[in-house]
Amino acid sequence: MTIEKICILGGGTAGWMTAAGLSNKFKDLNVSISLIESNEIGTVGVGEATLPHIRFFNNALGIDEKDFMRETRATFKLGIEFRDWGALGDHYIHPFGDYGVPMGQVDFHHFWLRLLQNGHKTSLDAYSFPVLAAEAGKFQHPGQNNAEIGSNFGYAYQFDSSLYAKFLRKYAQNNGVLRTEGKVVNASTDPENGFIQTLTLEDGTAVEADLFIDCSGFRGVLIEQTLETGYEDWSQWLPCNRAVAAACESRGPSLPYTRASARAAGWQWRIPLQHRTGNGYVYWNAHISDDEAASQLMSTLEGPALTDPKQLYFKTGKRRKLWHKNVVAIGLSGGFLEPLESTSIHLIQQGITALIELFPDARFNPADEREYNRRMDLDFERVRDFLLLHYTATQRDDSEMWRYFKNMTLPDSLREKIEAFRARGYILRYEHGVFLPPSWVAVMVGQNIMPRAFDPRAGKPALGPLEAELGKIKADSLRAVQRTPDHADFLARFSQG
Amino acid sequence: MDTPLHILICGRGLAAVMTAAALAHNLPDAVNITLLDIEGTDKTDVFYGSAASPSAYDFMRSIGMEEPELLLGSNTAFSFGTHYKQWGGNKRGPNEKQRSWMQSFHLPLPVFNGVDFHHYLVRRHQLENPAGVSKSGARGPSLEPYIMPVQAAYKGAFAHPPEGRKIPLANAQYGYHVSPASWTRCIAARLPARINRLSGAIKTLIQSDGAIRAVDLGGEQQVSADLFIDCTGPTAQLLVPLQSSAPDGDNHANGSVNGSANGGVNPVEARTLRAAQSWTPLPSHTEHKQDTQNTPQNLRSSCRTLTGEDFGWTAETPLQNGVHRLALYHPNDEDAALKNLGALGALGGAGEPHSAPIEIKTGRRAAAWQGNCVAIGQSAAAVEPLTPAPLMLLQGDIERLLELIPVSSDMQVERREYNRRFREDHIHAGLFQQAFFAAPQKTAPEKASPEKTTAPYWQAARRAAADDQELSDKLAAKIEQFESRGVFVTYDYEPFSPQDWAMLHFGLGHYPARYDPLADRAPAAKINESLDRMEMAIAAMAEKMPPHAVYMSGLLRYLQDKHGS
Repeated sequence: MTIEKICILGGGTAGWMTAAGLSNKFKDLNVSISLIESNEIGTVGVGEATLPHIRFFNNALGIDEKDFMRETRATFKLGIEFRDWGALGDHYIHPFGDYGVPMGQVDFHHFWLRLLQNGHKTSLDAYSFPVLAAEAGKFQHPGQNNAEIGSNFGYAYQFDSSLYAKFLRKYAQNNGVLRTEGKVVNASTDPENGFIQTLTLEDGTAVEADLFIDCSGFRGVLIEQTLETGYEDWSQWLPCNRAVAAACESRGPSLPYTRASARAAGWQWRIPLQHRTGNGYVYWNAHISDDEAASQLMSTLEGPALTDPKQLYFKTGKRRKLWHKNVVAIGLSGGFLEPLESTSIHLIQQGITALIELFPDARFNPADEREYNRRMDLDFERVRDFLLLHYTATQRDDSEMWRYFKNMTLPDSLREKIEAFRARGYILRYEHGVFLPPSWVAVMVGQNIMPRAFDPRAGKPALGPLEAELGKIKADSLRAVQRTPDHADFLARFSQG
Repeated sequence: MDTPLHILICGRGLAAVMTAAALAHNLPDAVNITLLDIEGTDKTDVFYGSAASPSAYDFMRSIGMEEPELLLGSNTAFSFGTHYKQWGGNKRGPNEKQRSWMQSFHLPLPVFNGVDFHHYLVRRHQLENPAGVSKSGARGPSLEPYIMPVQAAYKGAFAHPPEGRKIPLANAQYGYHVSPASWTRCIAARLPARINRLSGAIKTLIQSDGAIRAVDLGGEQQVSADLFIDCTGPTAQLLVPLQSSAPDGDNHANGSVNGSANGGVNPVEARTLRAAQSWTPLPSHTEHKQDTQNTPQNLRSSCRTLTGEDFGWTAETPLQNGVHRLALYHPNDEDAALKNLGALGALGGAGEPHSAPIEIKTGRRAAAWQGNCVAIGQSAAAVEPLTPAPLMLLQGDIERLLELIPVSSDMQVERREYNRRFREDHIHAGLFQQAFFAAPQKTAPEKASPEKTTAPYWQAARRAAADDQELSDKLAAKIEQFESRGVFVTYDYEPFSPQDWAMLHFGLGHYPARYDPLADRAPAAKINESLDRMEMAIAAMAEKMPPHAVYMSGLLRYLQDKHGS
C-alpha cells in the first residue's frame, strides 16, 4: 500500500527543492520520482533571500556550504534592513538572533526599556551583534557557544535562485529523479474519487503517479486548473499585486544583508549576490502604473542594468487546501506572500518537511491531508500577520497606499499583538511559526511602536548593577564586531578555501 | 498606576502560598504584597494531587526553594512517574481491555537516521508478528524496556539523573511525590518578610465599576488593593461575586460568563468527583540509619500507583513519612470506594480514614481574570488529579500572572491575554487527561446500550471529553495521527511533551498501524541490535540503582549534616 510513484510538476525553485528533499529521504526505498518541466515556461525565481532555516534543509541534504555558495553565487545574510517604513527617513535592521543575553525569565528588551525610561539613550541595536555586524558590513560564522556574544545569532544566504534550482537539479538527478521535458496538456482524473491519475504531455507521453506535487507556479495546473481547489484571497490585507525585477552590477562592498525600502505604492528590494545585485519593486497597481514602476526601479539601480525589467503578477493569499486529494501544492501554486521577509523559500521548505512527515500511503488517509493543511494554514497566516505589521506600524500617510493601511481593520490576532506590545512590551508568542519573539520586537521597535511600560519584573534588580551589566553587553558586542572580518573579505577567503 | 502597586492574595492553601512566594521573589520591592489567610479555603487542596512533574523543580527554584530545603522541609519524595493499573475494562466501557503501564518522565527519545524511535519498535513488532499480535497477545510493541525511569520505577529504585554523562540514567527526568498540605506548610514557613500577613474572613466585597476596591473583613477592617488574587478554592470568594455583579457585556468580550448560577464554571467539562483519603504513617527514614537491609516500606516505590476501579480509581503515593492513599470516585459509588480504601489501608498496616470525603466539581471558568481580580488554581479551574496536570496548571497560572502583572489600572491587555492563555493551557492539558478515556479508534464501535454496562464515573468522564468541541477535535486528530502512522500532532505550548504522549498512547493501546517508511532505510537487524543493547543497558542500570528508600535516607542524612546543626 505504499506510494511508489511521485510526480513533481514544475522545475523552478519549488520543484527542484521538493525533488531534492524527497529523493534524499526516499533513496534506497522503492519510490520513483519524476519531474516534468518545460523550458518554454519561465520560472519566477524572485525569492533570492532566505531565512536561517534553509541551513537545516541544506544540511539534511548533506550539502557542503562551500560548494553551495560557489554554485549559487551566494552571500551571507545577517538580516534585513528596512528603510522608510516606520516613517520617511527611518531605518532599522531585523536581525536573525536575540537581543542582549538571556536574563532569567524576562525578555532582554524589558531591561532595555527600563534604562530608556531612566534617561538612557542607547538603542536596542547596540545589544545585537548581528545588527552591529551587518551595519559594519562584517561577517563570520557563529562560534560553538551560541550563548556567547558574537556567536548568538543565526544567518542565512542571498543567492541566485535559478542557480540554486540548477544545483539541486544535479543533486536530485544523482539521486535518481527522472527529469522529463515537456508541457502538460491534459490531466485525467479518477471518475470515482477525482484523484489525478495520468498527465499527458504535448508529445503524447503519459506520466502516471500515485502522488502529484504541484510546483507549477501561480497557475496551479493541478491543484487549481484540474482540481479547482479554490483560493483564499488576502489582498484586502496585503494589496500589492505586481512586481518588476531586474539585476544590475554591484557597487560598493558586498553587504551581509537584504534591503527593503518602502515606496509610495509598495517597496523595493536589494539583494546582494557575489556577481550582481538583484532588485525589484513590489507594488499595488491601483496606485502606480507598470511603466512608472519599471522606470522607478531602473532609475534607482546602483549600477548598470544586466537584465531588462521582468514583470510579475500575483494575488496574495493561499490555496484553500494546499493538499487536496492526491495533489500537494508547494511553492507559488500553494500560495503567495510578498518576499518582504524572505519567506517564499521558507514556505517551500515547510511544505516539503510537512509532506515528508505526513507522507501518505496509497490509501490517502483524509486525516493526513487535514493535518498537513492545518500546519500550512497556520504557517501562512502567521507570516501574513508579520508582513502586515510592517505596513501598519507606521506614521506614513504620504500616499494613497499608506492611507489605505492607516484605515485598515486589522485581523484580531495582529491587533492584539500590537496592543500588548505598545502597552507593556509584551509579545503574544506562539510555538509553531517562523517568526519568534525577537523578530516581532525588532520590527515593532524598528517601526516606532514604543512600549509605554516594561514588565514589572525588570524593575527588580537594582538600577546601578543593571546599568553596568547592560553597559558590558554593549561593550562586548562592539568588541566582538571589531574582531569580525569584513563580509567581502570573509566571503572571498571562504569560497577560495 | 501612579502609586506603587498593592496586590492582595486571598486564601490559605497551596495556591495562595505559591502565588505569594512567586510574587515576592520576582517583583520589585516597591510592590506591596499582602497575604490574607482565610480559614477553610484549603479544604479541597487534595485535588491538586500528589504528583508533580519535573517542571516543579524549576518552579521551586524560582521561588528560592532549592531541592534540599524542599526535601528537609516537607514530606516530598522523588517520583519517576505513575504506574497506571487496570485502566479501563470491566464495567468501564464495552470493548475496552484493562491496561497497565508506567507513565514516566523522560527527555526526548533517541532519533535514528532522522526517524523517531517508536517507528522502529513498530516495525520490529510487525516483522516479528506477521499476524499483528504477539505471543503474549499484544497488538503492538512496548516502549517500557527502553525508558530508564520506567525500569527504575518497576524496581522501586531512584537516583538523581547525572548531568552530561553518557549513561541511560542521564536521559531520565524526575518529579516529586507531594502532599499539598506539606508543601503549603513548607512554603508558608519560608515566605519572605516583605509579605504583609493578615487573617480573617471576607464579609463583603466593596466594588465599583466592575472592579474590587477592597475586601471587608468585618470589625471595621477593610483591605484595599489594586490587584486581587483569588486563591480561595472552588468557591472563588472574590471572582464569583465580582462576575455575578458585572454588568452584561463588561469584560465578557471573550465569550465568557454570563453571571450564571455556577459562577461561570464552563459547564462542558463539569463533573462531580469525590475524594476520600487514608494515611499510613511510617517511621521516617532518618530513623533507619545504616539499615539498608530492612528498607522502610513507605518508599518501596519510586512511582505513584494509580489503579482503575469501577467507581473511579485509587492512588497510592509513597512519601517520606508514609503512604498516602486516595480514592477518587463518582458520588453514587461512595460505598464501594470507601470499602476499597479501607482494604488498601489494611494492607499497609495502620490505614485510617484521613478525613471526611471531599467533593469538587471539575471544569474551568470561561474567564479567570475579571476586572482587577485574577483567580489562581482551583478558584479558576478544578482538574482531576489523574496526572500531574493540576499542579502543572497551578504553576502555569502563577507563571502567566507573573508575566502579566498589570502596569496600569486599566488592565485590559493583561486580562485578555491572560484569559486567552488560560483557556489554551487548560484545553491542552485537558487533551492529555481526556485521552485516558478515549478508546482506541481501531476497536469495534460501541455496541448498543453501553449505558447500562458502564459505571457513572467512566460515563461522565467520556461525556465530558465529547462535550468540548475544540478539545475533542484536537484530541481526535492526535489519536488518529498516532494510530494511523505514529505521528504526533502538536499545538502551541502544550504542557505534556511528545514523550509523555508516546508513553500514554502505547500504554492505552493506541498503536501505530504503520511506521514511517523512512525507517526502512536502516536495516532491521542493525537497529534491532541497538534496541537490544539499549534494553540491556537500561536493565543493568536499573539493577544497580539504589532503592528509593536507601537513596532518600542517605541523602537526607547528608543534607541534615550539611544544613542542620
